[in-house]
Amino acid sequence: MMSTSRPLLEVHNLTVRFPLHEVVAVDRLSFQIARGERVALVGGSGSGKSATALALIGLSDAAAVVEASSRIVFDGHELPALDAESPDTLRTLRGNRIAMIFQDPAAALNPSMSVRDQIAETALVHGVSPAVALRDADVMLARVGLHSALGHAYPHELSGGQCQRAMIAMALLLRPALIIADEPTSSLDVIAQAQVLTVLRDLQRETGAALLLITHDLGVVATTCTRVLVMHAGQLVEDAPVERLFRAPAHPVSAALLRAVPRLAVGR
Amino acid sequence: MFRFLLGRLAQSALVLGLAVSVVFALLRAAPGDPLSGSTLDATTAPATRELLRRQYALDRPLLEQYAHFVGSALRGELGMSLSRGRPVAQVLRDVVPNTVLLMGTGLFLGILGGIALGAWQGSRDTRSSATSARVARMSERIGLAIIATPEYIVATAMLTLFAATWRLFPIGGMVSLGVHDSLGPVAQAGDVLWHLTLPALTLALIVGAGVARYQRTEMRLVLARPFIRTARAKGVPEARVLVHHALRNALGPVITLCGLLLPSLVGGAVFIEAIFAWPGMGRTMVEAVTGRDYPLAIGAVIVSSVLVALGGLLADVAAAVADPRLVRGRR
Repeated sequence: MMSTSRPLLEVHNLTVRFPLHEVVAVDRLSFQIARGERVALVGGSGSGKSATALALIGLSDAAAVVEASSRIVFDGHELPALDAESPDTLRTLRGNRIAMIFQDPAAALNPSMSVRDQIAETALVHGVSPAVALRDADVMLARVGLHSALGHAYPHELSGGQCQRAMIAMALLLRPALIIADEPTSSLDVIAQAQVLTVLRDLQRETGAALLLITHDLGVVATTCTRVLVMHAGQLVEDAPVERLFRAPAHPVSAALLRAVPRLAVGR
Repeated sequence: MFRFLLGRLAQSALVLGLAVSVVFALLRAAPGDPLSGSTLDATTAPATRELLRRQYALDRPLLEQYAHFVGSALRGELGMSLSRGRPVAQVLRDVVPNTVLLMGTGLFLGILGGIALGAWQGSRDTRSSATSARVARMSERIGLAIIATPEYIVATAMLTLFAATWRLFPIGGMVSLGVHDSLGPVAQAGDVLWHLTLPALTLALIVGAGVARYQRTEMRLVLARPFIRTARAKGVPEARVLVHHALRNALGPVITLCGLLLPSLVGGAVFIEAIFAWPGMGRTMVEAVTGRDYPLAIGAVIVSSVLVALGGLLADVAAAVADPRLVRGRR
């Protein structure tokens, strides 16, 4: 076992370039996440949030180049920055130790596979027997609040919120140590947003997983996370506890993001 | 699934009825009749002519002929061939299996090969090795060349190269004349297989080139969709991502296309059978139409319509298996 004092995830100098467009999407990004910690990664569109998340699990866009100087250490093990060099090291971690939840759940689920089969597949491809995988999937379906009959449904038969619950069940089936959620609620209506966030928060606490929540919604950050990373133009511009960021943002970009949050001005 | 099948069967029956009626009407509308062409010479007495017309019921009103024809067709009686003096069913029984053998083998190889090749081509991206990318590009160009070339030229080229120049396969026919009957059963099957290879491969090449092109495009589109990234993020091995997630979702349109290909292939079979001297239905159909042999022509059309309808049905069932949403519909 690794010592618990060491961070779960250490990112050093992560740099992702798109040579074709001469864009540096992620620029020498360094940060750490402790075990069980809930960290938000915020920033405007195109600030490099999603490129960071995909680089962490080795699923960068085919046109992207992860610089060789980038280092990612997960649970004490150095991860290969490029999937192509050792495809199986990262594959065995994905879905198993590091899980990812995507935005637009209706499109992120396979349209011709039943929800239950898709959830069970996470366990199946990591060596769990089909019978056990299906049983675990049923337990997880109930845990995220989906009726067991919905397990046999196909994604187009579910609402957006139900799809995202299925996605969460799929991601958390094997109790990963790190959950990366890329704008998990941005395509949902406010009621579904609240429900999905509750499910995600409860399961995160229950499993003790660390959470990297990518969002541009600071309201979600305030209720879910304890620390905030602010990105701008591929660079990390602020790394602060939630309360300090909300009270006294150190960087102009953080301040701008805060000003963009709509407020109720009652009785002015 | 049962209701889905029932619905599709009813559709097939409707298509069949329509096809048969149209051919009946077209043949009767064409100038000439069975007794005016090459079957009888000019010296035949008018009384004999009249007798023959009555015997074959050609003097009855069209609608009555049609009703009589539909009635006996439903009973499986296709009448007597006017040019061969044998029952149509018997004539067809001799040639239909040959066509089914040739078309079945060619289609099976072509569709399966086309899907596999297209899926592989479509899965090449910037991360694939330079060699495999080059092979994929090369095969795409060869495929395009085959698609752009008329079928009879492809068939003639195959015949010229493999049979005439390199003498790897027989020049035509289905059996080695004069030798075949003296062979044992295993050797006889081998003899047919040897004759079958070249025409079936030609058909497979023509079908496969088109199928691969569609499959490749479809595969690329599906691979760009978000759920593929989800599968990879779940730790699904790449081979399973390509087959279980990508190909399964990229099959539907291609299967439908294969169903649509079938009718045009009945026409294509005429060329292949003519060029490779294959004793099949295509040749029989051409002879029947030029000789105004109504019963034989219509019988051949009925059989080929049944084959096409069956193929379409098969394609729909295959599509439903690949994509269960087709059967379940929306709730």
